[in-house]
Amino acid sequence: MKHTALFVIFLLATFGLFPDVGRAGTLQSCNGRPDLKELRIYYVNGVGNSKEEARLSLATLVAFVRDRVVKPANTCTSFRLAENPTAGYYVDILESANQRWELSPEQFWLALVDLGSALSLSESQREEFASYVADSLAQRIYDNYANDQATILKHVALYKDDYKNCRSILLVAHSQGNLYARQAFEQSALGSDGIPLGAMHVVDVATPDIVTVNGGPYATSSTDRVINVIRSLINALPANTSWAPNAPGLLGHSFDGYLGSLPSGNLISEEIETSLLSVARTGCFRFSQPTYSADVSAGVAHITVLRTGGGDPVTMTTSDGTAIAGIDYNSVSTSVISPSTELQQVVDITLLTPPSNETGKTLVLKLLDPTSGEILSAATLTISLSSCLDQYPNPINGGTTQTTESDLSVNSLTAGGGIEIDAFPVSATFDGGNASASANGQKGNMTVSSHADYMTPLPGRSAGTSSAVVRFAFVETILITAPGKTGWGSLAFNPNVTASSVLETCNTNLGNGFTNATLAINGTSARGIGASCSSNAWRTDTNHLPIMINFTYGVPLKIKLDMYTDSAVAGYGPDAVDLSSTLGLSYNASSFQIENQAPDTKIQFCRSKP
Amino acid sequence: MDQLACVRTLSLLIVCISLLVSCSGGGGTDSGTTPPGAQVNLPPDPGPAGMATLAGIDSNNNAVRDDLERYIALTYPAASDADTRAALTQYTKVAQGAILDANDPVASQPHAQKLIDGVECLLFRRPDDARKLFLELQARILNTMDRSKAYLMAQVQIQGVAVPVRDPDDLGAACTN
Repeated sequence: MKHTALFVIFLLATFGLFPDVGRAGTLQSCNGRPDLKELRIYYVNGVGNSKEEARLSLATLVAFVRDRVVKPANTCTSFRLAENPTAGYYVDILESANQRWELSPEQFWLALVDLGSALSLSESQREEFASYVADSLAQRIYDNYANDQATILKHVALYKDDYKNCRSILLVAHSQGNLYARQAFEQSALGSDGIPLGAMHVVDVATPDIVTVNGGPYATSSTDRVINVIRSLINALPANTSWAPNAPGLLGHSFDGYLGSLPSGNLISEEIETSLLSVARTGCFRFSQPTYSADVSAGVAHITVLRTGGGDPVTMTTSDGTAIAGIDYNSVSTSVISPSTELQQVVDITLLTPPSNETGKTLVLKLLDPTSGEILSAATLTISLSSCLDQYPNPINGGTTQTTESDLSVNSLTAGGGIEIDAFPVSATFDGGNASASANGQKGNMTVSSHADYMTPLPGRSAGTSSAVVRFAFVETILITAPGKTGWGSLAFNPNVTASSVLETCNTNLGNGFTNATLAINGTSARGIGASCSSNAWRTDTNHLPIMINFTYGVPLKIKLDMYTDSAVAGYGPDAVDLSSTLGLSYNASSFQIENQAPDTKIQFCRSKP
Repeated sequence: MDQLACVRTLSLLIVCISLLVSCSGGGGTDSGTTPPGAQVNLPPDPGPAGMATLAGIDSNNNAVRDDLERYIALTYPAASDADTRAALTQYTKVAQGAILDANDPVASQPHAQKLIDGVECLLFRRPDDARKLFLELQARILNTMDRSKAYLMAQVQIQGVAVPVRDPDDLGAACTN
């Protein structure tokens, strides 16, 4: 039985069925593992380190974490350097070493890292040299950091960016780096994007400080000559560990020495382990994006919350900005992402149709710690109010759909029937903005039975003579302009329409009577909306409200200006204006439709904003 | 002592001497001969003349000071040390460039990344003792007061340059040869 149990344990271990605990001796890379909680570990170097030395110490820390630290389950680790750029301080020490101890530069550099203590110095000289260097460094540690806010701000930016990207942060700081770490830690908590205390820890190594960061762990050796000097000057934290007896090191202060020496190394590994466990416990909840937008016509906004790491569910809430709960949206307060295995959850916010046309209203989305109320993440939702509300129905369907396919043929109307619509504002932009149209629409009479009634007679216009039933969506007028263009384009009609079949009073006044517009029918004859049609009186009719047509397209559009259409009269097809070649014209028509050459083009009949 | 014992003692002595000789190659001494695996044509020892100027002497114009070229070759002579020599040489060239450009803030900037590359390459090639190798080489590079001061100045020039560090798995990408 015992053997069986052992065999089972062996199998579990072999096939990785134990919880994914980061064992000492391994290092789980974060590359390609978004499912793991990323623990970002920074090394903050001490005074006087060159870039290369700081990088080497980071490498030492990487190996130390790999070999000596048990990492929390379901995490990965990444390492960075928070550089304390205080290199270059050795010039004085270098010169003094040369003058007082006759150390050559080569010997100095070796002696400084205790690689060449036997080169030329006697034991007493080595002691004297060590005291001098310790005193010098101790002085510099406090002399040179206080005004380096620029570096601290850089570090804060790094840490905040990490937190924003759902990384938990551990700073392992050495010597003067602790002073940088404490300031950066404190400043990182500030602001709307501040890092919550639980998501960032600091382990102080050989700290000259009088306090630890946020009461966190530290390790200072009793044999650290630099810190001992500092402690003799200020009330630096007491020693709480030591190096092994006879451990190499001129000053007992080096970061590598702290990690490599058993008593201090053990303490530091425990402190890092505990800190990683703590920061990993802090789940990361984030909105998938800092800003969202949704159109009220959609009726709902989908908000995605992302999660990495463990921890309890959090609360997502909405609060008013310029948008008001109950008027513009329905407020939300809900717990998100309960099971720890889920990595995201979509929360819907119902959008309400507001009484006003005001668009661009915002509300604030927050993820809150359910216990402390601390804001973990915030985002904004902007509610757009596209001008496509159902208050002005589609003239074809007479219903509530505003977005239609491109074919707005009046033939889709019920024969013999009709709809009556309210006038509504329409505008149009064609041909990449080179041409634009605005129109004055008016209430149309759709209950017609003959051509004589095919449209509400407008000032200056006469009814047609056909007895066929015609159907018009509405009566409107269109003014098409082409800013910046010169000359006039032609208005091409549907080839099926012939001059003789066009029943429109104004036909009798074809030509250039209307502001030089030249209108061609089948390319053989022309007609215009001439002055004989009482000119532009209709356009000044105060009952004609502005009409706006907004549509998107990828290719030049054709707009069909339907004078009429009549399924009972052969040859009465829709007339069309190809705006892709229109330079500018003015035209009035009884109805119009837009014919788009791009199959995916949508056309919206919308009301305009006030 | 009989004859057999004498022969045995002599043989043991010969073996010991052979072992001592064979084990002395890594001591960094300049024997004047080309050690196995190291560069075949080492430049001559520049002696004190090599310390007279910031640039030193580079008689074969390979961007590596002769004294450092010899140090690297003679300290790590084995054929299996070829990667180590390459990494140390990479760093040496960059450090020398940084020293020579130390008074030029603009020219100094690109050296920041290359210095880190040099260290990361060494970390890749010698993960267990990169720090020791680096510090020993650095002491040789900075073997004059002028070079040391120039190096410290170079560090000041690049202290504002943020250099990204590679992940442990990517260190090999730092090596240029």
